[in-house]
Amino acid sequence: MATKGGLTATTPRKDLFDGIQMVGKAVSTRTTLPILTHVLIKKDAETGKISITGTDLNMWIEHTLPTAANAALGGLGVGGAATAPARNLTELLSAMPEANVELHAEGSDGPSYALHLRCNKANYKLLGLAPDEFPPVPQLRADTTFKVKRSDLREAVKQTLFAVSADESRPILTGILLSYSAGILRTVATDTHRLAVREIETIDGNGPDTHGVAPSSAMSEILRMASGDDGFVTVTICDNQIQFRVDDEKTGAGTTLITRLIEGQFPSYERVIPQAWDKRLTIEREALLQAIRRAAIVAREGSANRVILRSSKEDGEDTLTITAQSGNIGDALEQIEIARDADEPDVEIAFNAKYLIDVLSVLDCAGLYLELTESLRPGVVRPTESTDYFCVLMPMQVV
Amino acid sequence: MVACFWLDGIGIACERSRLPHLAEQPIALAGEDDLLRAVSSEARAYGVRPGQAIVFAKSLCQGLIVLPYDLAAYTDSAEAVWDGVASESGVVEPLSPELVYAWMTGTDIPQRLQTLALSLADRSKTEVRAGLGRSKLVARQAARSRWAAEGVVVAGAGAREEALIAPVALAALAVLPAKVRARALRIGVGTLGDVMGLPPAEIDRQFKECGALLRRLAAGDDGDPVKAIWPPKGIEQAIAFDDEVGDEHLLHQALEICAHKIAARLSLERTYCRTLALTVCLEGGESIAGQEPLASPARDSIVLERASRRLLGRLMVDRPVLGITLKASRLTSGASAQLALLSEDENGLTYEQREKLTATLAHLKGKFGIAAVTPGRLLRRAQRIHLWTYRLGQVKNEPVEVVTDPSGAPVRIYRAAIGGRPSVTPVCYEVRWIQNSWREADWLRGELSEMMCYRVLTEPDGLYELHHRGTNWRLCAVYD
Repeated sequence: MATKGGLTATTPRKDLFDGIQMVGKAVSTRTTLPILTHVLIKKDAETGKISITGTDLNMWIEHTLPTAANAALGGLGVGGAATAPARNLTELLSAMPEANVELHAEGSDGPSYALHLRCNKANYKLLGLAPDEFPPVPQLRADTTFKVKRSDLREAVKQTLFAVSADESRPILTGILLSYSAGILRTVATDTHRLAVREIETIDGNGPDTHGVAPSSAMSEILRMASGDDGFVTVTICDNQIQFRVDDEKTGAGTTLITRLIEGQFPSYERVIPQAWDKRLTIEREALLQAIRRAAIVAREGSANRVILRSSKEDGEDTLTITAQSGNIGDALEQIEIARDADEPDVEIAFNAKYLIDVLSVLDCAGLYLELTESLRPGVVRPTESTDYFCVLMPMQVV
Repeated sequence: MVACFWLDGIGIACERSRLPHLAEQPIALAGEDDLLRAVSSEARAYGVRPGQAIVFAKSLCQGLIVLPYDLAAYTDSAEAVWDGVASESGVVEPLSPELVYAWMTGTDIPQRLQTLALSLADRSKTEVRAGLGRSKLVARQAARSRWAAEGVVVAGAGAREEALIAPVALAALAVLPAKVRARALRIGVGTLGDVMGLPPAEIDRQFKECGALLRRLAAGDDGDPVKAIWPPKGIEQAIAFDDEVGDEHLLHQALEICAHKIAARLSLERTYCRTLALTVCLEGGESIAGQEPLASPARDSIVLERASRRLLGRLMVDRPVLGITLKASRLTSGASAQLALLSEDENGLTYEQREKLTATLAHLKGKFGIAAVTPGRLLRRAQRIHLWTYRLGQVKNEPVEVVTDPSGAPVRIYRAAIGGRPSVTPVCYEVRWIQNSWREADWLRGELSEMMCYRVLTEPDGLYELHHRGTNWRLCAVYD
């Protein structure tokens, strides 16, 4: 709950600006509740730490400024809170010179709610709303808690986020399924045409196995929050909410993201994962990506992004021929070397070029396997170096 | 010179050849927009005209029989006409079953055209109007003019050509931008004749950059040359046997070779074929031929070979064979359909809908008892008792379009979906014989509802059970 006292603080512009930007993604831009367009700036009386909070009532982001910034604050021991319009504050701070910014707000006894900012000789007064009106950050009951490496979580989100559906009529598919079981976190996303699955290891797990579907908007924020390779993200999952907490031990800064989980039952995706393959092509990822990108220029007009992949033996070498056709533009033909078993039959299969580019772009491996059965059955893309990721792609049918 | 052939009665003629009892009846063909696209001369006598709404046309002619416009069937019969035109010209552009253009060169063009029109009329059993002009616009107007009924109209340059194209409404010229058509209407210029009456400078002033296009059209030049799109390009593979062959195994081997070569050519040209045709040259010089539209565009040798074997079986070859020709036509690069991983179930429900339905049913069962909830299909099955007839294997519940004879009995069935997949054009089945018909009643939403049931044999071969309730026809069972 916000304190009723006024706020007096001084902090470097950059730290404040970074904090406002971090929480800005949770701030609602179109709402009937004016308070949701504001950020809450709060100073804790006991620790003297400054935190900034933004919410749209589905997602909350709370950012605590670095210790250095907190230490530079004036008036330690005086707690207080103020709200200010997020958009105006962001624009103002982005235009201010690199210097300390003094924040001052009257308490609720003042004539109006306003935040005064002073930076060098610039003085601004931003009209705000009563801090008490700001929705409190939910306190999660810690059912299941575990930690994951920042880099692992970032990669897992990146490698599945592209497969999230944009179809609002099936809300459950607009998020990423986070399934925690036996110390392994599995991220899954599907838009019914493709399915991406990534597994990562967790530490300090506490609580029963659980799962929940987090909205894609919140998960894309995780990519920003979990930047840097050091450190861990603490994940807490309860009935209908999930919390991600990132702490920077060096600077003392920290960010917490809490979001509601999407209600509903995620489809039983396991049943569509091919259990076997009879043709496995080993392909250099970068070469395939570049070839598909070029062919997609032709494929995007008139043939619904269709590229046809055909494995064959050309001049004694196993080759993957990629073709695309468009009545308006012309034809594309690319050939790249592949490796496959000597007795494997040739295969021809059509995929949506965008889907291939999406999955090839999020992988950072040198080689990949393309596992196929028939031309109208799903294909699976796996990195050659690891077994913790795969993407199932449905082909296109020529009609 | 551009020749235009206008066969506005081909649809009516096609329907009358399929349904002889419609002869001398006032009939009309209507599109999916419920507007008439063709009318018979008997209907014209009542004032019924193409473009009218069905309801209005029926108010003019009480006994008017309206049939759905069957583009696929009319195109099939028009192909013979197009072939006839192609025998005279190497550049043939059919635009619809009713309209075909050709580029004619050489001497005595009007006489040749006259002879050709007469032979086409004889072949298609409908009136063929022909017109000649220096552009498609002029030739079409010549063919549609009232003089065309008496013979080929040649639109020479000068007053006759002007008289032909002057009544053409600007609103009917799709080549003109909509804003130009709207502007022309606002300033009282409705036809090409009106444009001819304006000084060129005034046309340019009024229509700016489109002025030149309008002046060109008024001079009879549409800038649209005749394109050579008929006969369609195909890939042909023939095998001539040294001796007469009567062994089916050898014929299959020959088909396999042809299919393999065609598949390789298709793959090389990166195209697919939609139709496969087989011509078998028999002992004595006679040939029999058949063709099969493929379910989906194909270039796989196995698919082509299977289709060719089906064709051979259908041709019922009863004499030794001298040679075979396999032809893949209607070549296309193919459209694409993205397949889905988590598709809807057989009831058309998504995973979420299925989950919600299951939860609702569980709730209802919990509240009212297990016996209170019974699947509809079980109820339907329980009410159907086949006492005097055998049960057909595949139970279906598929809405179909049915054309009936005057007594209300089905004569033709149009299926829009085969095997649960929507078909681009409805598949037509001619009713050869009504094996049985009976009345049936069942409970529908708490009321006793009667319907008429027919068990029919069709061409292509099939045994279907149709239910007719009110204005709806449903295909309820198929013999498998």
